[in-house]
Amino acid sequence: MHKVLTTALALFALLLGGCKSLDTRKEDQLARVARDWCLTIRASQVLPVYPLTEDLQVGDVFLVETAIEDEVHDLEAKGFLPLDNVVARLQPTGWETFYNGAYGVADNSVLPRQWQFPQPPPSSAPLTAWTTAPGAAFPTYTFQVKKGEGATLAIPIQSVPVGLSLLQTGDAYGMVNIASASTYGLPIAVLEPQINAWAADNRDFLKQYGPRTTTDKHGKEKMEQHYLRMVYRVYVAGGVNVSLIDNRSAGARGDAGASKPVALFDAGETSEAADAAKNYASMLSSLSQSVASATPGANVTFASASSRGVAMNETFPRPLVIGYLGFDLPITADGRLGPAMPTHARVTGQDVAESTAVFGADSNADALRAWLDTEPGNREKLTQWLNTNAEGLSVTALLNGNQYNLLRAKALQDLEVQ
Amino acid sequence: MEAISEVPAREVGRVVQDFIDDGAVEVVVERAPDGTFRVTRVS
Repeated sequence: MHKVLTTALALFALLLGGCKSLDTRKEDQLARVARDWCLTIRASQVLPVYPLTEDLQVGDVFLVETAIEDEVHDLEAKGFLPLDNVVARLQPTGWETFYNGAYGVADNSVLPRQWQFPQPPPSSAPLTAWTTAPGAAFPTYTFQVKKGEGATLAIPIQSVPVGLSLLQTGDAYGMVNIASASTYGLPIAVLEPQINAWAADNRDFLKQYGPRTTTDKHGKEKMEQHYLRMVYRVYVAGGVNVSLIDNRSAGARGDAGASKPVALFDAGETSEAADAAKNYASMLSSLSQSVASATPGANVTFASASSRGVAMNETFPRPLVIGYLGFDLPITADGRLGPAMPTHARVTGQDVAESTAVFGADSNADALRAWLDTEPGNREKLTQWLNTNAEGLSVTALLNGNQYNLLRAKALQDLEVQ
Repeated sequence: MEAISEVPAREVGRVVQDFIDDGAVEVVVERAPDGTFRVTRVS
């Protein structure tokens, strides 16, 4: 009896382990494909949006709670930064001056509304006017998928599962070219006064998110700094061109196994070139119609198809935001905003061009100055302490910046300044 | 470049001295419309 019970438990553990292993593999694969997609966008110095959305605009303001080291980790591990705490959507001004009347942008323009919902509304496709917005282009994204591990779910476009189904393969190599990309934005210098004006009206709200010291799980004290992240440029894509090549056809072709129910084009077996072209065009049209009827919502047309691979053009029903640029403003203890720092530069560890701190010295600053004057070596000690606790911050900023009051208190404590 | 903004007039000298102690060679002081000063380390 004992032996039966042990065997049953062992089998159960094996089953559980197997499921867990499958889940982990699936999660890994999903995460990797999402990351690869995002890295393509990031390679163009743009922060990726994942999943793709239409609802992100220049002037959107988010509250960022994550510490910079955690954000860097998120960006490296996932490939994108979560945008989950929307605080406000400002309707910025200054478009006409920035675009100097080009791209249909006038003094009374409301962007991106005039491109999203043109007036009068078009009666046929395209239903938007993004083609009049400034253009953009992105590099090609390549990926590897294994259908059994659920990778298709991670790709934020529908052509991939369609192509995999058509090829009847779960193992494919693919390329995605972002098509019909547009961009628009405003300079930080134009937006910063507008976000500061908003902050002045919402100081009580922002005060809640002033810097504070917290204790981590190891009992170590650390500074928690909140930021407002404002989007100042977005990149929009109208669709994608997807090519999928069956990995099984990379080696020698064989006829082992059941034949495919969909007879895809094979140029190697066609003798009449004229007939081939005609048949080919007809087959592509049939495929596109077949996919359109089988998968409502997926606007996919076939550019080429063979038994080894397919190329498809997918048009999004409405153009979607794929990436953005933003800047971060630290929230001070009294609910004001500090200097603007480009998000991408901040989270990728690049030098920020100019750093401005609002003056706000206190008695701790006086104590630190007095301590610095007592011994020449103390400045070096403070510099080393800053390298560990607030990398990139100068002694002058620490002594005079209003937002660094808690950091000054921590420096006094750590350096045992009397 | 690094700057401290909204510095009261009586504190300008001390901020300039802090920049100099930090190794600054050129420091610019500008008066803001609200009567405070902006002290910028240029180099």
